[in-house]
Parts: sequence; structure tokens; C-alpha cells
Amino acid sequence: MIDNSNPPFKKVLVANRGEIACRVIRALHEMGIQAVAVASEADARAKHVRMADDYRVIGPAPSSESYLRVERIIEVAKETGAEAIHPGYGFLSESEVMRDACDAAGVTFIGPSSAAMYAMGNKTRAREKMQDAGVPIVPGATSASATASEALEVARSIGFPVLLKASAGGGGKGMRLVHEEAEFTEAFQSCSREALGSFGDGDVYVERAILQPRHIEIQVMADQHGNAIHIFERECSVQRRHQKVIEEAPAANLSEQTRKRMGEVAVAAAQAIDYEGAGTCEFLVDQDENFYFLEMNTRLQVEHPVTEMISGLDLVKLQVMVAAGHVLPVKQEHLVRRGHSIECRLYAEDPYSNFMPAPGPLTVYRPPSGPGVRVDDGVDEGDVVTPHYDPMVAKLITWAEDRPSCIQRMRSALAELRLAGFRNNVKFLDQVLQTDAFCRGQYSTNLIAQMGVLEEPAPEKEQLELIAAVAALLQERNCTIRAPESQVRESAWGRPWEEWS
Amino acid sequence: MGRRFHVEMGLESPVIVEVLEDDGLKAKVRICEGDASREMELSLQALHGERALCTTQAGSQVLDIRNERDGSSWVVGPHVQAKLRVTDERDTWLGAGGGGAGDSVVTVAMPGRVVAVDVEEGDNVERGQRILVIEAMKMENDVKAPRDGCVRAIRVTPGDAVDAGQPLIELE
Repeated sequence: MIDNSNPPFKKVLVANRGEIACRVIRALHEMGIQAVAVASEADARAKHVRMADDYRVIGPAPSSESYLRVERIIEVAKETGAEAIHPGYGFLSESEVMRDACDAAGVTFIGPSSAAMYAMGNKTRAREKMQDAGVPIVPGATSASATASEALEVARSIGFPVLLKASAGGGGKGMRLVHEEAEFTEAFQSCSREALGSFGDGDVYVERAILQPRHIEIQVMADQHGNAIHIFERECSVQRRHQKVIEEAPAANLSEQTRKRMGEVAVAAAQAIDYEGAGTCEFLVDQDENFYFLEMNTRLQVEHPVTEMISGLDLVKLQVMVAAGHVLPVKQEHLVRRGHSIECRLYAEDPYSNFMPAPGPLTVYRPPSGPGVRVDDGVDEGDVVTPHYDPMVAKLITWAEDRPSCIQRMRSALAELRLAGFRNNVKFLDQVLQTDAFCRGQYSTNLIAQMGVLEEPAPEKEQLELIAAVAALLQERNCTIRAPESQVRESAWGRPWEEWS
Repeated sequence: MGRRFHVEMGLESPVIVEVLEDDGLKAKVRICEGDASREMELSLQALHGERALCTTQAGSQVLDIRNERDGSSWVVGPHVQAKLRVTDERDTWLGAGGGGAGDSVVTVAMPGRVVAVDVEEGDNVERGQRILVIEAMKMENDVKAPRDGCVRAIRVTPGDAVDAGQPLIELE
């Protein structure tokens, strides 16, 4: 479908790090395009640097002095002859400043226009724009209320329960769930006081409260010639601290009718802002499958692989093609959904201690493999997860003909994975996959909270005893498992294999 | 009595493993935790790449084994990741191995005779490095540095008889 004999670019700079930089570099190489990496000093020998054809170290570890340096990154593109920049996700991927700087320098930015980023960059602006385009948004006031009586009128018109949100707030602060009218005035006043205290602005919004919401998003892809398609949905309701942990495609339980409507609405939203490239419309979906626009992410998403697995498309390659001005090589009616896919994000964090980040060395890292198993990682064994960036180490993705087989395949892949050297969420992921709610596909964003305070599953006593016996035997055979004398790691056994095997 | 090893793996007390028989492949061990003990037969075979194939009655599994520079090791298998530290019981008698990092006077816990002194005054030694050999209970036993440091004084020469607790070497 994609012609590699005549690649759209000769060389592309990847302005990112970790697994997504590696993912993009792979796609570029498959297309016959050379890849230039940029790295902070902390990442100077990281996997994405090792995979690239050329690289530059662009500054110290803090992102603000390296991965966020627009001018320096464009300089590197010029210096190395890269014709385009792929921003990955995070960092500069949704930066209008970056897009404009690329345009000014004559370097192609692989992503949407700055006008599209601007339209979606602010929630209030996006909400208004989407409402105009006929996209359903959470019913509520179009402006903040200054008084309780004014707000109560709004609450009555949209119906209880309602959510009060500080106009200037964020991160859950200054939010109140109000179940009935009798509680309203007091809740409003306390919310307003908190908002004033925290943000210096006491204005409060009233919105319909979506209880037990699901987070379902639609992948869209658009070219410069007015063609836009959606590539089905992803369900991302398994979240901790408002961050996604497990995603799947298609959504666990969603009627064909709703799925179709959500897709159409997302395409309309993209077209309303002349969108170009890969983007995602995020929606909240209630128990009756009413869906409401949340925001649009104007970039590639972390969880894009599940969409690739069920559609057979390579979203990164499509991004590169449309950025080069090519017409989208697929039409909506040609897309076929096949099977089910799940992604688990492996984090260097302690799920049994409030998901505290836990950087450290990858002392043992042996990823799983086999049919329907995909690993997108940014590390090899011996690398170190530093405290400077996101604690996500790798993404494990499985595909199978149906959802139960896909869950089973993921559980097997997690069991096959060997990972040690730092605290991680592998056991926790398996605990989530085993919950009744997840297995039935009847879960909301409250799933992890509903699991309560989790205990780390203790290894079986027999297994621990066996390990102790193995360690003692190795010592007895003089295959010392003590510290090696030099800093270079030697064979764990201390002497050649042949002598005792 | 077979050689006994103390395996510290984050449990309340070390697991004690006594190696009863070992032909280099198949082995029989006794595992003691507190007052309880049980015997286990297993076969342990090296594989390429710091891995071992371990077979018991319950089945086979491949374990990854890695050393850390602090003297501990990781043993990683299906559903288990254990960071542990193994000490030969004789080393615990000899004061090294499990010794505290702050120890500056090296002693042994039983009487014996000095066979060899491996270091000189002023030498820098690393934790776990052999510094003396003591003959005791008709066996030669390595005495290892309890911590990194510089040798300040050597109180014995080969051939000396030493008592339990007698200062042998002082570290700065």
C-alpha cells in the first residue's frame, strides 16, 4: 500500500526519546528514511540514540534544557540535513511555537497546523469550537457563575447530579459532586471559597456529572487534501492518577451504532478545524452510551499500537506520508476491524505505595515474544531508568481473535516477561487483568480506585525456598554469585560454564 | 554435615540451606527456616547468558541470575524476582561476609592458625576481597574484608596461632 521505493523524505529528525523515539525510528527505517536522534546528556547512550543513523546531544538532563529547546532542535535538523521533524508525543508535539519555528526554517513538522493546535489547546476554546461543529459536549453552563442562585438555575436546567468546577482550577482541586438540590448552595459556597483560596478566582462552573464514566477515544487521520478518516475507537478507562495504564481496542462493550456515531462525530470535529495528520478525540461515555467530547489530542497517542493491531495500518508511516503532502492511501469504507488488542504500560513505579516512581537499573530485562505479542520499548537490559523523565519503560501489546483470548495472551506475556532491578507494576497489571469487572468488560475510570488498597502478592513460599536453594548451590559449586571484582559485569558464575555444566 | 549457606532474601530471618549431596548437576539440599526444615531434590544446569535451568519434581524453570556490585544478586524467574545475599556459614563464623560495613577490626569467631596474609599495610581492599587464610577445624578458611578500606595495621604473621576475637587486621 505504501510505496517505499520513493520515500517522501531522505532524512527525518526525531525530537523525542524513549520508546516513542524508537517506534518512529523503526517506521522511518522501514520507509527507507534515515533517522536523526536528539538526546539530553542523561540519554547520550540511550536506545533511541543507538538506533538512529545520526544524533546530537542537545543539553543537560532537564527537558527544559534539552528536549524542549525549539531553536536547538531546528539547528540540529539544519546541521544534519533533516527535511522534517517528528515530535512523537509529549515534549514539543503540541507546541504551536515549534510548528511555527519549523515553518519559518523550512523544515516540515510532522503534525497538524498551529491553527489546529491553537483551536484545541485550550479546553474552553475547544468546547466552544466543538459545540459549533455539532459535537456533543457535557451539558453545562457556557460561562462561569459568580453567585449560588445563578448557578442553581443552571443546575436545575441540566439536572442533578452536577459537578461544580473551579473556573481557573485543575487537577481535581476545587471540584464538588452535588447529588441533589438541598446540598447545592453550601457546596457552591465551599467550592467558590476553595477556588478563591487556591487560584485567586472564585468563579465556578456547573456541569452535568457523568457517574462511572468510561474514557473512549477515536483515532482520526487526515491529509492536506480534505480527506479524513477515523480508525475506530480505543477504550482507556483503566487509569491511575488520571493516567492511562491499560488500553484496548475495540472498546469492551459498545454498540455498533454508538461506535459509528462517535466515529462520524470525530471526523466532523477534525474537519471543523482543517485538521491534518494523526489526532485523537477523547470522549466520556456514560452508562447509557451517551458520549461527550472531552478534548482533542493533536498528536500521536501513547496507545496508538492497539489501533494499529486491529486495523493493520501503521499510523507513524501515515503521519509521514500526509506530512509530505501525499493523499491518504486508505478510505473509510476500506477499513476493516479485525480481532482485539490490549496494551499494558510498564512503569518503573511502586503500585503498592501510591504509584510512586521508582527509577533504577534494568538488571534483568527479557521481553516476551510470540504470535500476537508486540513490545514497544526504549530500553535494553543494562540500561537505566533515570528519574528525569516519564517512568514508562515499555509497552506490551497483544492481539488475538477475540477479547478473552487477548486477555489470556497478555497474562501469558506478562508471565514470560523477566524484569528486575527496580520496583515495577508488572504484578499490578496482572491483578487488574484478573478483576471480574475487567474480564466482563464492565468497567469505568473508577476501576483501580474500586480495587481498593492492594497488597503486593507474596511469592509462594516454595518458590522462594527453591530460589534460596539455587543461590546456595551456585555458591557451593564455587560459581560465585558474589560481586564481580571489576566494574564490568562478568559471568554470574565466576568461571567457565564447561567446568560445571 | 554438608556445607551450610545463609540466604538473606528480605524475609524475617535468613533461609539456611544445607547442601547434602551434589554431583554437579543433581543435588539434595535441606532448607531450614526457623525450626522447620525440609529436604529438596533439584537439578541445576547452567545455560548460556547468566541463566540456569532448574528442575524439581514440580517441573522446570529458567532463572536469570545477575550480580550487583554491592555483593547481592538477583534471581529472577516466573512470577518471582528475589534480591538476595548468600553467605557461607563458615564466613559468618569468621566474622566477614555478613559483617557490618563499619567494622574496622577484622577478627575470627573461632581459634585457628594463620596460613597466609594476602595484604600489606597501606593496601586498599574491597569488601569481600580475601585478606587472610585461617586454618581451623582442619579446613582452610578465607577471611574476607568486611568493607572497602585501607589496611592500617596487620597484627599477625603466617604461622601464628590466633584466638577467637583476637584483632588480626585493622582497616582505616
